[in-house]
Amino acid sequence: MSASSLYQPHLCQIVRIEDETPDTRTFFLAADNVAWRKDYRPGQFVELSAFGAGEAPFCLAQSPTRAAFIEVTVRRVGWVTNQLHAYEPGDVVGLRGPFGNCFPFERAKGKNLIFVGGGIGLPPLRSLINYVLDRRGDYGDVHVLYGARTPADRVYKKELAEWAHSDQLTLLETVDRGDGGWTGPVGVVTELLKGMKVDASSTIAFTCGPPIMLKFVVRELVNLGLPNKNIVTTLERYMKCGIGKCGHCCVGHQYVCMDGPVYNFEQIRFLPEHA
Amino acid sequence: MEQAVISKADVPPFLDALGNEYTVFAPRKVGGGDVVFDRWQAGEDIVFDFVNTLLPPKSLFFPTRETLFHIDGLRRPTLTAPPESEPLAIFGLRSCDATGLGFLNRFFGQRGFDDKTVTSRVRDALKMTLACHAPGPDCFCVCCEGGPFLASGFDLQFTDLGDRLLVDVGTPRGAAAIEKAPARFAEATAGDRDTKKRLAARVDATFQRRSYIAGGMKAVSLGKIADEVWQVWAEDCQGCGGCCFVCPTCSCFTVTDAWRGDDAAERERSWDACLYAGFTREASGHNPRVARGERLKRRFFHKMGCQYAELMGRHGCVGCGRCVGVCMGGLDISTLLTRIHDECK
Repeated sequence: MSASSLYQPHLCQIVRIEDETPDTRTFFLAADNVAWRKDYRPGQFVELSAFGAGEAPFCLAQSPTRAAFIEVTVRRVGWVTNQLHAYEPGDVVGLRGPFGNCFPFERAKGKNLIFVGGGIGLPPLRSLINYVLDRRGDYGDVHVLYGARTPADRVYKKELAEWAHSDQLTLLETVDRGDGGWTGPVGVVTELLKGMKVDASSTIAFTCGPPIMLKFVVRELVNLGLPNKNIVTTLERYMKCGIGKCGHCCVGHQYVCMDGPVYNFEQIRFLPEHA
Repeated sequence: MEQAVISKADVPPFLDALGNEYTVFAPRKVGGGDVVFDRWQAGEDIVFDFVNTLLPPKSLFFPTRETLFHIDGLRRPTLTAPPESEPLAIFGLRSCDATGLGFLNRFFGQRGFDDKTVTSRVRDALKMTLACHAPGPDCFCVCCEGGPFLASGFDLQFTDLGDRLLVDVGTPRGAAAIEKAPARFAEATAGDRDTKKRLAARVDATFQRRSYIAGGMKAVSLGKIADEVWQVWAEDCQGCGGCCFVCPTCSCFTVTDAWRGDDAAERERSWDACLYAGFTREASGHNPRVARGERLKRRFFHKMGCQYAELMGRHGCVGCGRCVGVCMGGLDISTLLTRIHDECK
């Protein structure tokens, strides 16, 4: 083991790439040599290298109960993600992790669950949704609320179609702007929450999406009577190391990479700045 | 031998004797009267008359830029780690800087991820400190438990007694170093020990004690300073990062891939600074810490907040005073903590 082994990633071949939206793809990475592929926890993240471009943090998008591959869903935004999007099956990326805490899936046992996702905020929630579906008896009612800008911007379209017909969960979807083929609701995702009947004391909500969406979702969940500690989200910060050294992700005295990225709103209330 | 003496004339041959186990560094005078750490050359005179080196020895252990690994073939890569560096022996460390090294070692080693790129260098190094005789104009180590004399955190601590040096042996590594040239050392006499004790007391009294540290820490920890006040203060911040780079305990870094030809690269780690606007900027352009005042507040919370002091066992300032000299806006730890303290009166 060399001194720099904490930073030296595991090499993983891309087995398959699926287009999700015009700017988002899911990468299926060969997991045979990844020792932790069944041992990570929903909500954790990895540092993914596109060599020559750099390294960036991404949530693990699939449940460890379905870990035939390491799945990472990536929107094309900057240096690293542009290079990842130029890759083809057979190309090799670097993987370090899994890092961070996780969703409180133990504390959520026996509770009703509401997932509220916006756009590219669905992938981290999916790691828990599929985990819950594979341990279905441990949890109460499951609602998944998903909002995207347009029908084309919805990720995991095949899975959404399955969920829509599943008796294991209730899926409610909306888009900001419809198109010719869209028959569902049009509007922001908080509208879907407004009609819900919720047993506030036995419900935990998990939400992820753009900051402006989170603000309104949290307000609505509080209106429904959910205590702050039962409203859970995952924060996104610029990170370089994932192991509490580089200093980039600190909010207050919290290292989002080590103490997070999953926080409930009771904890977030005390952070000096919001992500 | 817990305490020994060595004549000043015997220090160069002692450092020579260390050369087969360590790469030896010592202070050297350079142009403009500055003193810096540099490779010790056999036969060189030792510099004893200096307040402190221009920069702390941080970069010897945590280089400004270094290769984490080589990448050959970007899409079908082979990764190769760089060769391990030789252990260092460093003579003439000031107490504050040795305290800073201890801080870095604890930080990089903590919370289940022992970053050996830094910690193994610090742990394997022979740290020979030179206790301070007189404070420089910017020094405030006495307020920060950073000196002028140390009780621990060194392998050998040297105290200048005029023609000779009293040597405190702090660790087995220090004792083993003396065994490399045992003839150069003698057991310290009761008189030597007494001279050192009196000197330490006299030196300690010459340092000005400043009462604002505890009050400043409290105000920073509890968020007593309004964001608007931080913003006004931060108007004097040039965002140069100088305070971070001269600080013995600042350790933030970035990691980038540097291309080497068409199909190879090196993953490099280099120093970064929380006062830079891009420090928290995400790929989308979103920046959670966009105002200069927020960045200044962040720096002071990290260095002086009780929440971090609890994680680290001490606050993040060792009182070396280098930021006092480097900041053109008067936003160094000493000056700004005074303002924070006054603001909360």
